[in-house]
Amino acid sequence: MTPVVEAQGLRKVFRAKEKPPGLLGSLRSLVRPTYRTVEAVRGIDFTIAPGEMVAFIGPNGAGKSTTIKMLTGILYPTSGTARVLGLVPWERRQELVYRIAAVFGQRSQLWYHLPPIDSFELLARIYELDRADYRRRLAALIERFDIAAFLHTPVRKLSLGERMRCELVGALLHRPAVLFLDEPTIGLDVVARQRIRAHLRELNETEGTTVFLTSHDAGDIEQLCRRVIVISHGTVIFDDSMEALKRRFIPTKVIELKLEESADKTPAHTIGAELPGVRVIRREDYVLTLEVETARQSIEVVVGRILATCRVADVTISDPPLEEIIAAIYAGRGTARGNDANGVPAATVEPAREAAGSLGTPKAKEAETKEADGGAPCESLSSTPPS
Amino acid sequence: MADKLEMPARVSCGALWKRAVSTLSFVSAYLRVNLAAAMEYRASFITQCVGMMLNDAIMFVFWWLYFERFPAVRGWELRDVVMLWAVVAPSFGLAVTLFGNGSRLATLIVQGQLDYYLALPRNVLLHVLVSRMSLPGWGDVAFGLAAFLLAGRLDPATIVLYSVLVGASMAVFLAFQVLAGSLAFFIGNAETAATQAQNTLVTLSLYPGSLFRGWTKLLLFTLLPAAFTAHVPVELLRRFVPAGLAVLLGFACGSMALAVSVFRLGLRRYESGNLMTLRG
Amino acid sequence: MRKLVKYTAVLTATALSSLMYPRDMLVPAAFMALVLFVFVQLWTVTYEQTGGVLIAGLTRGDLIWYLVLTETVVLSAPRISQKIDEEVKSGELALALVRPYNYVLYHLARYWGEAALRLPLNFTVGATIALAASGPPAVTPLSAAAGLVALALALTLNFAVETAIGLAAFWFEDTMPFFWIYQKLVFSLGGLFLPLDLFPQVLAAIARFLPFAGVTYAPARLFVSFSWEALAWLLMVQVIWLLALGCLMARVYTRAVRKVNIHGG
Repeated sequence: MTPVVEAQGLRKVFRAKEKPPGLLGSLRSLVRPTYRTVEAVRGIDFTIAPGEMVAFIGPNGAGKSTTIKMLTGILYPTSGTARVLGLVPWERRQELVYRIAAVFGQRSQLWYHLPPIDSFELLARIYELDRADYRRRLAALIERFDIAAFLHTPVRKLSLGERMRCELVGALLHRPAVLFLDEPTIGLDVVARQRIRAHLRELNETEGTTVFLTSHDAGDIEQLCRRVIVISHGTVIFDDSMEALKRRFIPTKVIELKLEESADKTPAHTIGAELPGVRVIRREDYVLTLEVETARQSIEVVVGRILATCRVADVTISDPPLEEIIAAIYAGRGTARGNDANGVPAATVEPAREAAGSLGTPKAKEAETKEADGGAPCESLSSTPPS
Repeated sequence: MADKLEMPARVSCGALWKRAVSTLSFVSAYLRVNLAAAMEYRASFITQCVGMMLNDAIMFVFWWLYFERFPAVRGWELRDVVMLWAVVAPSFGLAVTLFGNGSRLATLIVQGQLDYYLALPRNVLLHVLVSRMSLPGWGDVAFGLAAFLLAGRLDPATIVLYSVLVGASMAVFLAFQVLAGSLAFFIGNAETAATQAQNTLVTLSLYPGSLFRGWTKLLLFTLLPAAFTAHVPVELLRRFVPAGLAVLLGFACGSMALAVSVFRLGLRRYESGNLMTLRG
Repeated sequence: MRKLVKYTAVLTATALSSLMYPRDMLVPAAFMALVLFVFVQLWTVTYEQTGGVLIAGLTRGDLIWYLVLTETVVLSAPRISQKIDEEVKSGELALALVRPYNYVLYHLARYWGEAALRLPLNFTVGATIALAASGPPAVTPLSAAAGLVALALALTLNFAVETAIGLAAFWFEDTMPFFWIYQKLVFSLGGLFLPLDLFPQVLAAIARFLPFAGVTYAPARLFVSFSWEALAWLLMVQVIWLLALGCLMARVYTRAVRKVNIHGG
């Protein structure tokens, strides 16, 4: 299977002119400018197979947008190569643009004062689509993204969620093989976000569109992508599945208990002292929250002990919020706690794994039951077993 | 306490003086702050001013070319046009620099931004006006002063008269701006109308008064007072007539008084919340 | 052919979109009315005082209609230099490279889409006043046709200059000064208020060669007082400058794109 995106040794060094403050400084810099070099991207390698949904995350300034610009042909790398759909982006950009799409959460491709349908018509002509095919495609997309109700309403009157759906329809008219999404759910309310994610998942399942997602929203990443590439300081520091991400960077689980007696009175809170690898995070009134290091202690044992010793009204077991994980990565705790299965320290960059190319259903189910935003634990006893 | 009962007249004079001084220092404080902010981006400030001067100079070029060919426009010659610019450019420039929010009054009202000023202890209108400074206006001022120097009549009497005339012209401009902006209190979305009205006044002020006759002339003495911002001052500089000055000053004071009262009326409406639908 | 369709579609979409905001178009029209009003007075007074019917071969009516045309050009030309400047600064130009159209042609289509609406509006307002003030213009089908052609060239010429200015945002913090200077040169040397025929000899001779005259003087003069020499000369000036400035703009654009490619914008 030929990969859809291949990057090898991509490097990008910028030369930025230094701008000294003040009028005199500006004049001086005009005559004798000084430069400083910034190595934004220091050697990036990865391969993406068709139909994958990959999250591309990293702190600001890590080299994310630089990498995407290189992949879309806007920017020339200083060294290294890449291929998207078999084409070198910066050499064959004019060709490539007909087969990819880029949607930026904050920049719209739709015309503000016109209804979306007009923008779609325009896009059909811009992408030189065959009329009959375009009409069929449009009908299918309208139905998939459920935008029929406001197809003829000026874009400025649409809510952000509606606008985003129209934006996606516009981007998909020309059947791109690769979709670059940047912050697609930014500014949307919870319901709208879920809808967009559902649409995108469906899209990927039925059409096999490869999706390259950049987002700061943990929910997006968790619910859409099986694979995560983390970039920091211009290099890839992690490239593996979502599971591995959680396992490696913060190998803990959070158990939240709702007790039928005051937490102070029960022996529950002493569990932290009794069992190794267990830490009490919160103990208030009828709530007790524990953090368990899964490497040192088994969840079953902890839960079993709790159920045996106290009267429990509700138990919830969840992964730590993705934000925490991402924050940990950004903070450079790549040498996190815990090593991987072979005892190798976590700092090494993992080789790109060829993912299964489809959405594994167990992951999808887990995603549905979790509201990852804010890391709020799920309701009642729908505890998901550690995968 | 006792002296207050004994000499109320003197106290009120003193209080008035105090208030005047305090108001003046308040205005000058704003001036200083605005200028300091402008100086932060010196290069930009300078380019804007130069740009404005260029803008003004272009019309000059036209008039220079015109008067190369034609002797006069019903009595107005090139030197009169130069004087026209010498009066109008600084008066307009000072109006938009020292009282920079005058041109934006309608927008502020419509967007409910007067709330900020209402919550503060100073006179609302004055505060609103001085809290912003339009930088290119200084270019107009510079240009106008240059034009005055060009006109070459630099005896002390003329200079004094000139300053008074510029002041009066500025007052008329300001009054007009306030009146136009205050429309927003009464008819809602008046931003475009207010801006257009101001632009019209400025445009009409920059052409020789001798061009206009009849009904237009009447208009220029009343609703669109270009006569008082421009034509009458120039005439007074050509040939001084005390009565003329008196009329000009009277009109200036009268229009300012009118503007202030209309604004106050509108402000009461604003405060009563009748404009709720327009806000936020 | 599909390429032409592409840009025509952009043009139409722009025109439609502008229709949604009619107020933006009324403001220039109002200004046209005001300026014409003042100048009708001026030219009336001027002709009264000189006592003649012709000045440099032009009647009072000619001068009034001349102004209608020059102001139509100036008021209808969309201001794109600022828009392009913003797009350069915001990175939107870089983004446009991921779309299957040429950035410059795309903007040309948008430019004409907007101009297509403003031109008839401004001209109608101006023409109404001119008609009332001095009757119909001394126009023949030939002069009208020549005027139209020159008008199209003039606006395109203006586009080339403004685009080059806007793209200069890659190298200059503030492109407004360039725009202002250009605009003022059009107003003065381009004969906005005063036809070049009324300029002093030397100045007129120089101005005739410059591109600014191609933007305002050319279409107005041909429309008002057609002559074959004028046609030949003015069209030639327009075309030559259009080619020259068009090339400049293309070069600036290529260098700009290269800058994006190397520096990311």
